[in-house]
Amino acid sequence: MRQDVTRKHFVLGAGASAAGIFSGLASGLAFNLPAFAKGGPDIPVGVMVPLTGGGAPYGPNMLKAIEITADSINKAGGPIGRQLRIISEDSQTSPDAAVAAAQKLISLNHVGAIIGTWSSAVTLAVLPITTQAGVLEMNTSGAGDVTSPKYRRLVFRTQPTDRPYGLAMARFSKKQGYRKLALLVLNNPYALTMRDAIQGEWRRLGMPNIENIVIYNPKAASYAGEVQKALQGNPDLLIIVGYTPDASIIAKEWYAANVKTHVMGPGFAFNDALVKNVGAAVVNGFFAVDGIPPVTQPGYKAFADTFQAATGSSLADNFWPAQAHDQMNLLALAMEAAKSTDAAAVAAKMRDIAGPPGVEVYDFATGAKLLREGKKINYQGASGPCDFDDHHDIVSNFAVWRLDGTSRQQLELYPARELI
Amino acid sequence: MIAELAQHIVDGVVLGAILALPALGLALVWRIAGFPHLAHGSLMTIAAYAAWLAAGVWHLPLPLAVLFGLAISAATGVGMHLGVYRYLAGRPMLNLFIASIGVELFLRYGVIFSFGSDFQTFPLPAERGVRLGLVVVRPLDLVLLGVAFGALLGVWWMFRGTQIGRRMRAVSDNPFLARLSGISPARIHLAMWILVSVLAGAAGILLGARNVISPTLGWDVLLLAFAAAIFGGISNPFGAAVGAFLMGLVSQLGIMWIPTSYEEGIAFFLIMIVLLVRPRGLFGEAVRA
Repeated sequence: MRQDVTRKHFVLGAGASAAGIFSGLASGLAFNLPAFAKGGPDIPVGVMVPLTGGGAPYGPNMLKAIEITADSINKAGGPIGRQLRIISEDSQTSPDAAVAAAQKLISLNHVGAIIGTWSSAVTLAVLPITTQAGVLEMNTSGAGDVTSPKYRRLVFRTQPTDRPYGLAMARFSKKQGYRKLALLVLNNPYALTMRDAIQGEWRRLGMPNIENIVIYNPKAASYAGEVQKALQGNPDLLIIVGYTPDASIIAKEWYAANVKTHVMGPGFAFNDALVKNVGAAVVNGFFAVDGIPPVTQPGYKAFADTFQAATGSSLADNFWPAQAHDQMNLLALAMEAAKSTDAAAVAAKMRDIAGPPGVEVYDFATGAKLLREGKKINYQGASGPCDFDDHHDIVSNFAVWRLDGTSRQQLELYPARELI
Repeated sequence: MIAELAQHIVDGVVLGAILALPALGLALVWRIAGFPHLAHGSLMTIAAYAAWLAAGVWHLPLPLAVLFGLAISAATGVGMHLGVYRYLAGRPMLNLFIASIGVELFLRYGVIFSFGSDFQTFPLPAERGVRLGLVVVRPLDLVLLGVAFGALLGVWWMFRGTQIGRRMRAVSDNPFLARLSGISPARIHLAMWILVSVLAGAAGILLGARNVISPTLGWDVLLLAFAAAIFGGISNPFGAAVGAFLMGLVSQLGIMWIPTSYEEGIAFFLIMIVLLVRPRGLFGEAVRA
């Protein structure tokens, strides 16, 4: 019986997305459904985080964050008086595995939303499927294409795009007094986007043209030539725009080259795995640039202690789990605002509850209460303000850290509003 | 300019040394077993993982870990031969070729199943390069060069100076005549698989130590090693090794003038030209009718 209602609802939802003209009708029906059955059936929510593979350091805490948050949403009565039911699948940080998992979540579990996808390759593999099925998708991926017009309507990301990384890198480099930069850039969409951002901002700051820009291919047998070319003429700073495996090999080459050039890179590549791979002696003094949870803001504080108690690690070091928490809250609040679980209707309310104007709220219970009173709300998350722009992208605060081998020190903070 | 050129030459020779051992092995398999061996990369990968397991997880001393890696690689090569290729001997080359793709995938997913798809690194301290005249060389690269040249010399000597080596050459030249003169092809095949697996394993361990160990470590260089072998002449094992060094030099010198992302493209373009002019490769023998 329950299954039938869910399936009917799912079919309605999918049909509505396929033909937007019916979406009003469908969400009207969906709205009526739970109203008649008070409490109503559970709402299945698909969660796909990387529990294995390259994202394995982050996935388990993301899942934990979502479970805690869903739990507190359910304790507060749940969206439109219904309980959330989390169905988790491992993306294995692999596009192939993610496609299989998405198909399973959609056709077997009838989820109306999939949240938590990590890495642009995984998200970009899942999006054609969710878009086709009319399922809402929330992710932590930075590549430009993730919110391209063909997907955008049902897609929201809590991860800043690759552009603000470039802006923060260029501004910090200038502040440090560097003049001659070198870039080693992986030949892929994310890295090339970041290169453009660094170059553009560097030029805007009136700094000399960056001559040493070396594009490298993934999985090469040797990066010796590339590194040598980038280090030609002894640049002040080498920025490595890649992922941990190639950054590890390049860092070893840089160390062997015995030069005075400093090194910088995005935090998701310059992570603990990099330190483990190449050793503390090599990374000592490296700069890492990444988004940072707004540790002084109430949205962060509302979740920090709960998270720390559940996982034993600080939320400040867990940008993606903070995002996962926000995705769960945003989804539930948008359902409440839409008075529906239909993906198109929920997506249509997402920007209203996430951005200004409205009363700032930090959790589901307060937000849902205000929504029921007919008030407007503005959700402030643990990962940032979560204000989606026209593209369904967000900006967040950024920081620059210096790695000293065993720990890292925050040197500089760039507030979200300065990175647009 | 001169220093830059010299450094690129050194980088090219190092890349050549990485490719030379698998290229030599590919040529030997081609000559003796008669097919392009697509699972050759797995031998490199498995040796690297086995050595990492011994050194990084079991904390065995490095030399012991390397020996363990080579032993596992040899066992894997022998396993491939006895378990799969032996039964397909004498069938069309395409059967063996396809079977080796199957073996490659089986072993790759076996590695992922056992060790995960994460990459690993050997517990080696990072090393500063040492300045030798105009160039800076990583100590590990000197080891790599030593092993590569040592192995090439060893194989050379084996072919010239030992009975098993001479028999291997006899079988590769003419299996029918070799059998008439009382050489057992089964033993020669077995010896050949042990030899190429150990060569590939050594290259895999060194590459893993230089870069990172991933489930596609060997696969990622296989195409280059194949190309090097064909470039040098796949029917001549030492030509294949020389091809590897030429290929390393071409791709590393090429990036002085062309964008680095095209470095492999340039190397393959050159091979295409060579093969158009000289289809047997630089040092290959003319194909027998």
